Amino acid sequence: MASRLRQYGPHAWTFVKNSIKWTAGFWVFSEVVGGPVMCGGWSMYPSMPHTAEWYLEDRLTLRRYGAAGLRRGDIVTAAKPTDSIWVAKRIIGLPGDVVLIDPLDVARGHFLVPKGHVWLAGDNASNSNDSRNYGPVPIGLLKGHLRAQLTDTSASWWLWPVSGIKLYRNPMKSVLEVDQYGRMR
Amino acid sequence: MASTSRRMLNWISWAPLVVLFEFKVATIKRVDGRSMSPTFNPDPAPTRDIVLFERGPAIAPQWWYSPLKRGDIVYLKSPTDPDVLLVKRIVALEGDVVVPRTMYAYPGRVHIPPGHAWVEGDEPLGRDSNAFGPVSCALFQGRAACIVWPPSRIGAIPVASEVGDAWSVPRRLAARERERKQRVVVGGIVRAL
Repeated sequence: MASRLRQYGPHAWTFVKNSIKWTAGFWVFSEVVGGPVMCGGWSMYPSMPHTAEWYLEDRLTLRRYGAAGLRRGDIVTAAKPTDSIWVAKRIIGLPGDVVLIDPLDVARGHFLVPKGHVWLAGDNASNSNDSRNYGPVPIGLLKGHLRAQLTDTSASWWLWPVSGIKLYRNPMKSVLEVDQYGRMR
Repeated sequence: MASTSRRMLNWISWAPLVVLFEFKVATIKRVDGRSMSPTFNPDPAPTRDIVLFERGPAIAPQWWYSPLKRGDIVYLKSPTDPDVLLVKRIVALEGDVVVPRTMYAYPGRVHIPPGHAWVEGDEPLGRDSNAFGPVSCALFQGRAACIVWPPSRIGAIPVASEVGDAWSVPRRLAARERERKQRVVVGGIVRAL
């Protein structure tokens, strides 16, 4: 036993050291640059399936460009203001926009999104807790953009590279990119 | 014997652990401005304080042994500008009722919604919850643990106390704390439906 320890002991220590380094490195990388995250729930259906899937999160854009990198229609991850969990929602309004509070409500109330905030909503309006419940979300609570869906449990596993990966493009980009005079860019 | 570059690379490969410590355990920040005077940057101080903030209670309150309390000092991202960091004191937590300082944007009483807190500076300078209302606790980045600079005040953060010189920092803090507590109803008021 003691001889085994003498034989493999140094390698065991190297293994532990390298594990710590790689774990810390991956952790820091996914905090700063982004990486795979798991998400699930009905609130973004049908854009995102309700099953728990892996997505590619991009944190670099928010870190680099801040509020200037946000666009209406982006799917972002954000800390829920009223709870210590994360949510994935779509940006409906940027600071200064006037948004329709609830498209399902007969009272068509409107709301001016204040400075430094965004209006978030799930695509599945009838089954989503979003800015209609907790109000505009400070940009400081946003974590990153969801850029792609990496897994799809409803597709056959052997088709994964073909049908399992979906890139998330901003659908609003060509429609709403207008300047201050309302002209298309 | 490893070469010099190999040895340097070996040292650099520990860098992510240091960064992770900064992200998840504790961080050091310099406090600018008078808003937390006399706790930080007391009036005659020629230097700006450098403060150690622990991350745990702010970023993972549900796993932490001592959660954020009223009276704790936190640093947070400003709700009106994500690039600005503020240092403020927690005055009220979720479920409390606060009477804001009257000159600001929120007249009357404010009920603090779940997951939010009311934060104020020790000096009534205005860039706090009196201007922007209750803030989400998810904006908190760290809780002040101790002062690391200037050398004359290294150590624990000054706390309110009724003993001592009339103009000492603890006495002034005690006066402010009394004023603060008068404006907060802890646990709120049970309203009839």
